[in-house]
Amino acid sequence: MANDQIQTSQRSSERKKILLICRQAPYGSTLARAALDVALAGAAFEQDLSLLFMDDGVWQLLPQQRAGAIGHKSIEATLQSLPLYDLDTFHVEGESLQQRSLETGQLSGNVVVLTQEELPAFIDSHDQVIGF
Amino acid sequence: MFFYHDGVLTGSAYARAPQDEESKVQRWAALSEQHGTDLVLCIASAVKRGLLDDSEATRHASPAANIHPAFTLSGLGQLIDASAVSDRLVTFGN
Repeated sequence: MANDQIQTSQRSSERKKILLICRQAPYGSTLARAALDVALAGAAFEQDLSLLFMDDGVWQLLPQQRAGAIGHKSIEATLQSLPLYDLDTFHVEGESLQQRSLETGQLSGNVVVLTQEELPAFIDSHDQVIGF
Repeated sequence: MFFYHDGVLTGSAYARAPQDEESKVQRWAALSEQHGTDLVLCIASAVKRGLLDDSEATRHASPAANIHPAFTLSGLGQLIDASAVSDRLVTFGN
């Protein structure tokens, strides 16, 4: 029993590169919120996290969301708090922006745009990938 | 196994499959029993959807627990911890 516990704590101290891929609009489902909750939990567990926004997920980065009008809590405050946890870069797929007539200047946060060609290597550079 | 978002509905003790279909929750329970697999429902996703264990039912003054006994509720930290100690993470659904 004691051995198991020691082993568990040793294994838990591993630091992995974890990628969260956000592909849904911010309020149609609770997936956007779920991704941010996982990001905060990951930060608390001192994991090396990255966020990639693609498809409708890019809408999550638009500023001044007045989610209160539909009875939701805006995800914006949480997004803005992520740099406090060393999660200060949001990766965005460029084609997803183009398809929605969005430009990087309209998005909040420190945004790095990746092309579709760059995505496989980017995703491959992580140990674990979780989709939302 | 970690269930989040709508996936937590898998753990309902009250879900009833049509007569000509197998019960998924029973199959999960059998898998857990045979292989010692943890079946963990994300507590935030579960409580939001009305899926409660005994202690959450008491906390929220609800009449009874309604998750299948093969499942437990736990936080997202469990998912992160499992990711950190696993060689592979496989996700289904989204």
